[in-house]
Amino acid sequence: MTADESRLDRLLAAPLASVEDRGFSASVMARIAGAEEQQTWLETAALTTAAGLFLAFLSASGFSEWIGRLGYSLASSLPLAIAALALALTFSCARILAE
Amino acid sequence: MNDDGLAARAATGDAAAFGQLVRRHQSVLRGFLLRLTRGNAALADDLAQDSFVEAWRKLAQFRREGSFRGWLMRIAYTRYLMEARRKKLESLDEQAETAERNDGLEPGVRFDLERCMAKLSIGERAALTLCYALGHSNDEAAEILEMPVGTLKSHVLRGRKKLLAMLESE
Repeated sequence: MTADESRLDRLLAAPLASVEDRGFSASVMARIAGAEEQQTWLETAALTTAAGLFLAFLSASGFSEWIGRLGYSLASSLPLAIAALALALTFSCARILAE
Repeated sequence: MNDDGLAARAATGDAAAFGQLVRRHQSVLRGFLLRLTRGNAALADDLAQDSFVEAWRKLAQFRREGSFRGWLMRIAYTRYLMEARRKKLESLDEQAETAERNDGLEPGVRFDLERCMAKLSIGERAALTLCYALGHSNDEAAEILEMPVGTLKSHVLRGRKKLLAMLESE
């Protein structure tokens, strides 16, 4: 290795010049805090808008009336009542046997 | 607390832990970018800030297979490449300004190295800086620069050869 090569290697291996902070870290953290706040605001706005649109869709499409009719027909269904009773008896027997 | 511990805490939303990481790595990241930007301190600081903000957003993707610093360097290098492509390197040169240095070396010697470094390609500058000044292994440096180890070694050899020729001619 020549003298120039050794000199070059020494120069290259010297640590990078240290850069003083001088408020850099604080400005990074301030930017992050601002971005987080903006993100939260955007998410809230998006959720509120989505919820509003969903409610408007429900009332416009007669969804609540349909759910009401479905609930009534389920409650007055005899096969469904028998199935529910059988299920309840099965669970009760299983518990009694387990005890 | 080490970098991995702080990064894990920061990934859960702990901004104070991330602040510690920023303070710990700001100097080396800005120094690296300062060399990539050929001494343009304002651009280097902008890119460093963008890199830290991107790191904060992507902390969940940090897998701790390599070092946090290496991961941060990779983000910064990618950002620099995007900026260099967007602005063209010539315009970066026009904006170049002298940066403050306080590493204790003779001003003339440091000036010569930086001036010669500025004549190398982006890949050569980055590879030489990572492998020599920042002490990364070839594997780590190749991962940071997202290139095969063979390509990295070529950059190091070619850059070193060019620098040697420049130093010998002075």
